[in-house]
Amino acid sequence: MTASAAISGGRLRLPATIGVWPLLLALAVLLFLPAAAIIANSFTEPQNAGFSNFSRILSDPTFGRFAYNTVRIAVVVSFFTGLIGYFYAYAIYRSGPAGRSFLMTCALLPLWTSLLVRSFAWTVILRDTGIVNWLLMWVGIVDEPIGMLRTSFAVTVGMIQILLPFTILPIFASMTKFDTTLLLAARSLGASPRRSFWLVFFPATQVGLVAGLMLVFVLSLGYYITPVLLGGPRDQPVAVLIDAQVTTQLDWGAAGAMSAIVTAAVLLMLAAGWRAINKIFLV
Amino acid sequence: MRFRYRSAAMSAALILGLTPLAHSEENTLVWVDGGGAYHDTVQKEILDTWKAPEGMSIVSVAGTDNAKLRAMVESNRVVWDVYNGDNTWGTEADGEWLEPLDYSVINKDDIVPEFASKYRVANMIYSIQLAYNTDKVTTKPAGWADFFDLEKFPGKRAVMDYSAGGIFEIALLADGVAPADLYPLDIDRAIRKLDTIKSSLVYWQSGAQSEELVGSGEVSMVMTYNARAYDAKVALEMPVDYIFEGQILAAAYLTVPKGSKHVKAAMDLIAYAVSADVNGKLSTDLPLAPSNTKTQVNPEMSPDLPTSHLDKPYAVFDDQWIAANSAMLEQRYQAWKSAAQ
Repeated sequence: MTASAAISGGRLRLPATIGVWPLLLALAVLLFLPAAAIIANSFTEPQNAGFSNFSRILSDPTFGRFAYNTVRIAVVVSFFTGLIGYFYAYAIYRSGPAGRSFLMTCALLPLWTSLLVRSFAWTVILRDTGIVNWLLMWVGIVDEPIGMLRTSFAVTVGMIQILLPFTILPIFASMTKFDTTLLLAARSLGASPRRSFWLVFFPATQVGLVAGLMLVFVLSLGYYITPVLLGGPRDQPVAVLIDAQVTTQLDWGAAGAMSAIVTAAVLLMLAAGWRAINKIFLV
Repeated sequence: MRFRYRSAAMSAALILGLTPLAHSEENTLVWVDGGGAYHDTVQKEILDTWKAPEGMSIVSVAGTDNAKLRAMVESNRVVWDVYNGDNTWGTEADGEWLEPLDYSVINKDDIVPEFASKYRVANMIYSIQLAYNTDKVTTKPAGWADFFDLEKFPGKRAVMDYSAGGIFEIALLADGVAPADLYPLDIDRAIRKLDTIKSSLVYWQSGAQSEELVGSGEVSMVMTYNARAYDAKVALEMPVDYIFEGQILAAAYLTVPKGSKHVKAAMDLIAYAVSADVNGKLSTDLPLAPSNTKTQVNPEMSPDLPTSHLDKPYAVFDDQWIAANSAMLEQRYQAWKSAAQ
């Protein structure tokens, strides 16, 4: 905030903005209006539906089960991406320039590949005749292929790999902002490296962790293709129900209501984590 | 034929009228079908041979999408003119989105009875059948009962991940329900039967996936479209074979989206596509049976046409019943599939 105030104060002689309107307009036309139209369906279809779509869906145990699947996977994936992401970001932080760019490239590589391709790639790796089972049998650990594809394990592994950059980047950003003189202070007060890490470094960088967790959690809630391809029947998210209502049932009232419920959950999550996201991206 | 990875974003864009402009020219008639090898056959045998009205060109699009069609109709930006939907599409229940067909142009008399109605006319007949991996299954299965017999035929089974795609029907047929007594479907009974093999089930979302699953041997049996089973065996030369016992017949239908800018030309094209002269040509490369009773089929394809096996037990999808009960079917299916066993 202070930095931008200094810039807009004119001392640096830069225009206050080079125009944020194109982005806002694009968001309005491409995101907010369609989203509003979809959610509006939940009240207008069938005519004068009121909250009937919502009460129908919220009282349906099947929706509850799919919602539970969605949240369960999001929690597990967030936990592991947070854990692995923190270790990985720390490795980048502690590396020299060459190591840094190598590790960074490895972290970013998945982002440059399409989600669908990555999900399909996992089906090839994890299926009974895939490389993992082939390796396990070749080494002699197992005699029969282990059924990994279409399980919670497969969904979790696939989503962790796909979403990992979203924790690595904010955590690494928070580490680069860390004021290393604090470590000197800690050491001068007698703290061991381990104590310095836990009492000084980690608390100062956990904001990046929280921001990364928020991003991964919110993104996970909307995942569709990865659980469909990698998950079993008990790992399917709400998006599957929404898709069926939109495409085969043509019941856009029900689809709109489900979308509204998921959107509300995401907005609540974002509101709860807003401070962390603000801190990491805006300061 | 059905590829159900769709996004609501597409529909949203259509609501806003951001329809792709490529095909919206005044004089272009647009045909839409499910794509794949079928798409190419339609192009070659029907669209390329049709004499379009003066000054009009024809474009074919792969990728039927009922939601997209609805969005087009509602936003009054209809760029599709002839829509080749599956058997669940085009009953009176979908009348809101469709133009009634003009049977003064389309000759109804030659069409198999029941396959021509107010909003749709069948252009080909296919079926849902049992296909199996010949490395894993060495004795030929006799019907759906064997699909549910894990002792006699070990291995996983793949089923279409769609409530109205036939999963309840095959369970009931396997349980001994006579094809004629299939509808109204006894869902409780179907679910009890499905539960006996639930832990061995794999659900496929696209026809190509069903071929992959059975061809690779990941599953030993699959319920799939007969054209997919044929494709796996003949075109892809996979270790796959199939049976016609217990097949469930379905038809693909031609419809005209409400608000099409070329209703008259669309009716002409539909009349041509289902006429005795060309209807049988869909069997040139694919095992798709004609809906026209007077047409010639490819004699070499004849043994693989679903309609050549009507001496064996078979059922027919009751599209009207399915349309009237689709919400219930979907609810029961998702509840069953997602439940712990």
